[in-house]
Amino acid sequence: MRFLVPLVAVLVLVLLAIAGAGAHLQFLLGVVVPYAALAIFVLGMIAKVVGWGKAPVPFRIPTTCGQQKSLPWIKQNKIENPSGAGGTFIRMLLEVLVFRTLWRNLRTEMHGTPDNPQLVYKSTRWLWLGGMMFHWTFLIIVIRHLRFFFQRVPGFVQSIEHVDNGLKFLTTYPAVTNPGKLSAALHGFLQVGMPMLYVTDILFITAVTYLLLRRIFIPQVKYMTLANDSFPLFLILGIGISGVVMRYFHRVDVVGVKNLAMGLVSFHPVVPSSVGSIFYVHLLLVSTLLAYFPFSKLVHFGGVFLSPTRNLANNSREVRHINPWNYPVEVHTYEEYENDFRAKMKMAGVPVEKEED
Amino acid sequence: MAKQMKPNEIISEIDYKKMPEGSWLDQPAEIKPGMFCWGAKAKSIKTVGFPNARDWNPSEEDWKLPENWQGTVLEAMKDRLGKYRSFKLFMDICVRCGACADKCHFYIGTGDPKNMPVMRAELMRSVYRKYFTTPGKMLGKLAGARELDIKVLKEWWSYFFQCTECRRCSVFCPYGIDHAEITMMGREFLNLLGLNIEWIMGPVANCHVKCNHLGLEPHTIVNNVEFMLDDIETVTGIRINPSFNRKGAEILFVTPSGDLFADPGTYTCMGYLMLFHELGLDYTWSTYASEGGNFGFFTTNEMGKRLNAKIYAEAKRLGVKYIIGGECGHMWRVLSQYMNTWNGPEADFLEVPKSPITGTVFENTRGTRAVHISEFTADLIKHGKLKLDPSRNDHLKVTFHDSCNTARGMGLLEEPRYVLKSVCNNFYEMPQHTIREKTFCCGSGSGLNAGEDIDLRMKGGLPRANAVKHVHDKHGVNLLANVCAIDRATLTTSMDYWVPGVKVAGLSELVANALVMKGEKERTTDLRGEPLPNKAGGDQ
Amino acid sequence: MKLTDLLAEKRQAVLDRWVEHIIAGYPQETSNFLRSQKDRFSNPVGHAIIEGTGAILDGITQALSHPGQAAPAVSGYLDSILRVRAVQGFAASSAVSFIFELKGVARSVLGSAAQGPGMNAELTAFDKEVDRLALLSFDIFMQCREKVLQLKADELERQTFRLLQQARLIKSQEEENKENAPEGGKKEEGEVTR
Repeated sequence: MRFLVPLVAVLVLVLLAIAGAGAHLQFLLGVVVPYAALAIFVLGMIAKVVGWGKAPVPFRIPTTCGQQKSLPWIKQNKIENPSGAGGTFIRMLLEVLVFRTLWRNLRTEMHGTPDNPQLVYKSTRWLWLGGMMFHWTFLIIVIRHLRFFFQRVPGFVQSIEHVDNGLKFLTTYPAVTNPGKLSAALHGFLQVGMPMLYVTDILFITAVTYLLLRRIFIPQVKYMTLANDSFPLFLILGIGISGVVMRYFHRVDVVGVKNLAMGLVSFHPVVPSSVGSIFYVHLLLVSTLLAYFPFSKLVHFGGVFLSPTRNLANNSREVRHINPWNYPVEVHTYEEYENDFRAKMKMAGVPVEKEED
Repeated sequence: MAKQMKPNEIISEIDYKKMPEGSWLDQPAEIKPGMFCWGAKAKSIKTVGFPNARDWNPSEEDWKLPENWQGTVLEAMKDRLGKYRSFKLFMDICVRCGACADKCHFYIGTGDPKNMPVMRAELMRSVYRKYFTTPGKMLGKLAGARELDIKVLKEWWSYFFQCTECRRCSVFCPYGIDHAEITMMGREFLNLLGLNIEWIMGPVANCHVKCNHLGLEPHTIVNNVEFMLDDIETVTGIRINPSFNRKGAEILFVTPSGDLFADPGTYTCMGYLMLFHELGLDYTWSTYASEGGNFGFFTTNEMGKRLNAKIYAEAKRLGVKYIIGGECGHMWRVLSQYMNTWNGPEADFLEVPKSPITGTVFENTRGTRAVHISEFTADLIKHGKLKLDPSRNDHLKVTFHDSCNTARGMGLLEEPRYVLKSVCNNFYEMPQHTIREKTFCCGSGSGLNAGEDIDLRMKGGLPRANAVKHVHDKHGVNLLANVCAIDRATLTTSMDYWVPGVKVAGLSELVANALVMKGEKERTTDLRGEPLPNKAGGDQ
Repeated sequence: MKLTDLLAEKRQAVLDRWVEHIIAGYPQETSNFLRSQKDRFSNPVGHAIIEGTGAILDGITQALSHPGQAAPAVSGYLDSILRVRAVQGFAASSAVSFIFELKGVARSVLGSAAQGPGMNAELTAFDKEVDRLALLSFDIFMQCREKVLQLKADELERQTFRLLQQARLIKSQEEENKENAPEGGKKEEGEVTR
């Protein structure tokens, strides 16, 4: 149920898009749904972030992962245990950009002979690799899509496309310098009848597939997996596959797509007649992802910036952290304590405030 | 525990490892002997004014819950979601990637999948989804949501008391999700229904009235210290004369009451006494602030604050300048990350701690005005103010266990190591991902160090013990040093089971053994009365 | 071919099957972790099983091939496995059952090769060695359980030790006063501290 229902749900969406395109519902699929989805995404995320923001951070609870700032001759780990804004900023930057924490995973293995065992540290960084691949290629692909939303394609988008097309260089280079059979064949394969192949497309599909397969085949991960986890993966995989199909196999009218996109951003929506139904599949899945986003675990996209165990400096011994809802509490006072034990305190020679009850 | 089981229970035991098929959402928790602690007694609950005070037994069907307990919990949940960003955020952003799964000592030791930190949190999240999120309300189980019924409540109780709030998972979570926060919330809700364990509530009640977990009355504290002074005199020939509740002292010394009472913590306590005497420190003990630890922290936020308030209040009454704190794990989590926020405004009269011996100003404690004994001692040694003979510890091969709280809630890593290397000649580190911020819990923290859950504790203690066993086998390590009272009590037991031959000692005990005191007689034994290495064969 | 040679030849296959049997006793999510996590510090339970089974099988093979000599000590490895199981809620019978399983595992892996002529006697010797280790395992398991009980008692004693010391010393001081012999009292205190 955790895998089947979400898979069926995504397939139903695909069929809906195809049927809709066939039934001349292009305006609904190309204009109304995307606008609605975007509105839900933006408003939903704002509501979510504001909701988090409204909840105060009553205590300063960074998880310290290195030496604290203490005596001047002890070297502080300013990034893993920051005491100021700079270190905290770098800690967050590493966390968000290179997934520093997932990189931390280590394991040891025993090598050498039984008489002379050697401990060898190895990293278990598959999850890190999968996560990095997925998130970064996703970002690059989103940036590449900006070309649809500008009349003149911005320079940085072109640069990214250029680099992303790196595989062509890889195959071209040896083909020129050392025209062996294999590289020539590869070169031919990538060139003939195909548009430029983006490295990110391959990596993206690979990463999503990996993230999905580990949920199905690693028992521990399968145990914790909910439909909430597999649905976005199926959805994103569907988006990726429909995109790849459109680009490499079943080409759509790119000019028409661009007209539609420009119409959307300029609030003068137009529905081109020539765009194939596969495009509407892609668009409906993207719209679903956007609308689903604020109600799902995908909000970690915004939440990671707010995590109090990471985004606070460990300086609560130095500076008072204020809890806005701190309230007075009932304390068993010294006076009450002395009243309870005055005789015993005097007997033991412990000084008292009042000699008699 | 097998011995207490009835025959039919043992038969059902045999197959228990096979989990039922299907979703975890439908699998209730087992309340198994050896795995849980006795329920809190009415008397203890009543003493601190918590609700639903009654005697109850977790292994019985009826937990004597108040009417409308669901309403109480859900209302509190709504309230805390608005008060703690951590809680709200951690309910929303987990992607169940599994990075935390095998990082928990209880999962490693019990093999129970619900002890994967992510799953322990899901027990709470599933309820959150049901009542506080749109998809959960609409889709129910499909969205991983479920109603809060008695089975879920019992599951909460079982698993939130199988978490030691050690925060190791949060080191490995890509979003920093700290499952201690979730356990703390879970326990907060359970306390609203009178569902705590006696091993926590008893000490809390004691600490409330008698001002320490063990319930030592003032004259008992003084007597206990007297006995330690006798022992110190036997070993060193020096009679120490500390003061209690003395007004006008420069420093208030606060330490967990376990040090005053339970072996081997008492030897650590002798260490403090000897060190401060040798320095001629103008300090005082207090019978009112006679507890550094804070089991209230394992009940509710409010109770933690109530117990903690005594430290600053006593500092104020006695008119001291600042505070030195002894060796304790969760005490320092509280002193580092909570005390100043809770009760700080009461303590603005205090001064920034400055060592009277070296003149060092402890800038990092400018706010709390509380210095850790290891920081204080490291500074002394660095300035050459202590005469040390580390060869007195030559019979020891030492490794160091970082306490969860000082490592991950403070970052006290190098100070104790510096001290340790100064007072011992044989020091060996355990493997790198079992120490420092990646340290493994002793398995008995956060108030779970009772007797009745010994099986659970041994399982939870296995990862730590296993790393000790490695250095024991490889280097002959025979002493596990630490800076935590609960470690001293529980690692002793854990070592006894997993790595016989390894003893446990607080850092200050080793300092005192190496400390050459003015006017002392030639020492023939250490503080435990065992012969010193080069004096072996010496008469006693 | 002799049984010991067969066992040596098929060592890894026997061990793999045996470990599978043992690990199958845990929930699926956990058995995968126990099997695949190679880090002995992150996975002490799995490590004890994998390391222990190898040593135990080698011990049996050695005992069979050198019948006259003292059997090699494998109790340490049995201990590593059983010490874990003793606190994992296993009944004694299921905690030690893994040893007996070796008989079936070996037969099924060796297959028809173990049914050859003259194998009967060797298999009987093999079974006997397994039985011996099984009995040893019962002892170790019971020792562990007793140890757990002892731990509780010891802990209680450490927690209350100073109180007892006080109570006894106060009493002995009264006696001292009567007898007017303070040194005696001191000596007793020293003994208590041991």
